[in-house]
Amino acid sequence: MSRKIKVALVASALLFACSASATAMCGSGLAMTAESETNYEVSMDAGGEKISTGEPLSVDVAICSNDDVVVDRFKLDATMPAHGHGMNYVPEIKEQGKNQYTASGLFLHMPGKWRFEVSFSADGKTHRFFRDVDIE
Amino acid sequence: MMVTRRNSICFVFAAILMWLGPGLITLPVAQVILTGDKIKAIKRHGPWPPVFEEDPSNRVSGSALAVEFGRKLFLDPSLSRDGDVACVTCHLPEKGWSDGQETSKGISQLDRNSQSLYNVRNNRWYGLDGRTDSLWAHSIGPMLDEREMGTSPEAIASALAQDAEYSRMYEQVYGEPPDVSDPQAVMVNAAKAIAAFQETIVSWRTPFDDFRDALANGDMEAAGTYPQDAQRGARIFFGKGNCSLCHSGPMFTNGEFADAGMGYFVRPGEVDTGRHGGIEKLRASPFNLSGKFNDNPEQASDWATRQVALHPKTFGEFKIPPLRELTQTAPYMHDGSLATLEDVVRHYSEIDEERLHADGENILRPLKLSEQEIADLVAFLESLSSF
Ligand code: HEC
Ligand code: HEC
Repeated sequence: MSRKIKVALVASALLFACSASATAMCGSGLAMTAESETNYEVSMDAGGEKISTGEPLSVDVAICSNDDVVVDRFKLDATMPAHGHGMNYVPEIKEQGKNQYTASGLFLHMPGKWRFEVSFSADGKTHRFFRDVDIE
Repeated sequence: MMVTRRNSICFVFAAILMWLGPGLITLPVAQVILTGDKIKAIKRHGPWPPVFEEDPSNRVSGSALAVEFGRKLFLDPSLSRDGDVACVTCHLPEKGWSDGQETSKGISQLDRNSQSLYNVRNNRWYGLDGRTDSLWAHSIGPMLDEREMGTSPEAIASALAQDAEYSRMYEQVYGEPPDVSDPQAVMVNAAKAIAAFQETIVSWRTPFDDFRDALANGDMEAAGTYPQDAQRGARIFFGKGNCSLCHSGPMFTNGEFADAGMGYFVRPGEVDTGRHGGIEKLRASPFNLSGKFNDNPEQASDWATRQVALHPKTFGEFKIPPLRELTQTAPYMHDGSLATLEDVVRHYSEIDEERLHADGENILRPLKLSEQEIADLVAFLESLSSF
């Protein structure tokens, strides 16, 4: 194996380790899935494993990236894809620090599969993430 | 002579049966026909009754003196403009705290069916359109509505100040006599006492609650005594009927609004806008929880009032009603147009999808139930009543 290739391998392993640690560091909650190619990681934390209907809910969202970018136009919503409806309330969004937000007053009024959706702009693009959660 | 002979024949017959042993004479075995997921869903519809929690937005909630004062006001027609309409005119205890009419009549005719006041303290929204966010705020409306009691803050304040008994009770509850120079505050206080009274209206335990608790305790023998037709009805309610998506929790409502395929024309050319109009009224009201009459803004949060969304789909949506004690509160639906529980079940069985909001939720579909299934679902609904 040529020296060049070895260096490249070590470098990419390092890069992988760094990005993996960025993932581990991103928030404390459930990882959200990107809708398309992105350099960002997003996680949402609804204060525990069990999210239930019938109680207003707060969700902490952390957006992580290896670049020093500040995102804006953060939005969060939740819908029930199977029924074609969302929530009857508009979540209140508060910025809690760099690229960290809290959305409060979410109210999931039915049991079943809810899809949490997050979007924000950065690098002149809109980035969208989602996470499905089964609610009892 | 005959009697004795018949008795002895019976005796001999019984003796033979006993000798043949219990294997021959088996009683129908009580059994639970519901399984896994449905049992889990059923458990979430209890326990009953819920624990009483004071309403933090009402400083006299839970006060015995306020309950007494409120009860008197609730029953008293002399507070109305013409002295002949009281809350009890349209909320009769013997009709499950509704009035048995398709649409209610006070001073003049209303366009909606009276709601039961059972368990009313547990609501998030009040009125079929959810136009108020507390029980006390809702209790102001009928006093001022021209079609209901048609009175005014000034008339209420002076009626309370002039009546020695009312004046005394008011002072006992609020620590000072009614101040006629601030009629709005006196009216809100009167409404808070009426709310304290309504908080005591709680429905009893029902056959369903015994079934639910038996399932929760794993006592299948006790659970099995819940009638088989009601169990088959429950299988539809918590299963293919999707009923429990909207009618969920111990009250059998998630407290929100939906379109159940009822018409919303009140008369040709005039519609009941339902939830849409309700949200507009809520936002315009000085008595909502964001206003100065909320007695404890720290605890009685107004998050729902601030954050409720005025989606186009709210047009023609109505409150998802609780389903307890329905056997006392016919007729049904916001316009009282369905006379019996069987009519309601047939409505869901044949629901007209054309009538449902195109941009609403797609949960309701014609269920095309058999006659047996209709009877079973009615039996289930009846088991949510105590008598
Ligand atoms: C003329 C008949 C009439 C009178 C009088 C009347 N109500 Fe009602 N009430 C209704 C009707 C009809 C509804 C349901 C329709 C609506 O308003 O949206 C209702 C609804 C309610 C609700 C809402 C229940 C819920 O679950 O959301 C409460 C609480 C209530 N009334 C309390 C009162 C009180 C307290 C008084 C007296 C101050 C009163 N009502 C007087 C007819 C009346
Ligand atoms: C999408 C939500 C939703 C679903 C699903 C649903 N309902 Fe309803 N239900 C409502 C609403 C909203 C009303 C009131 C409609 C109106 O007044 O126009 C209602 C009214 C009723 C009433 C009348 C109660 C009264 O006091 O007037 C009964 C009984 C009832 N539903 C039973 C059922 C049954 C049984 C099922 C399943 C077959 C079911 N519901 C499914 C939303 C729902």
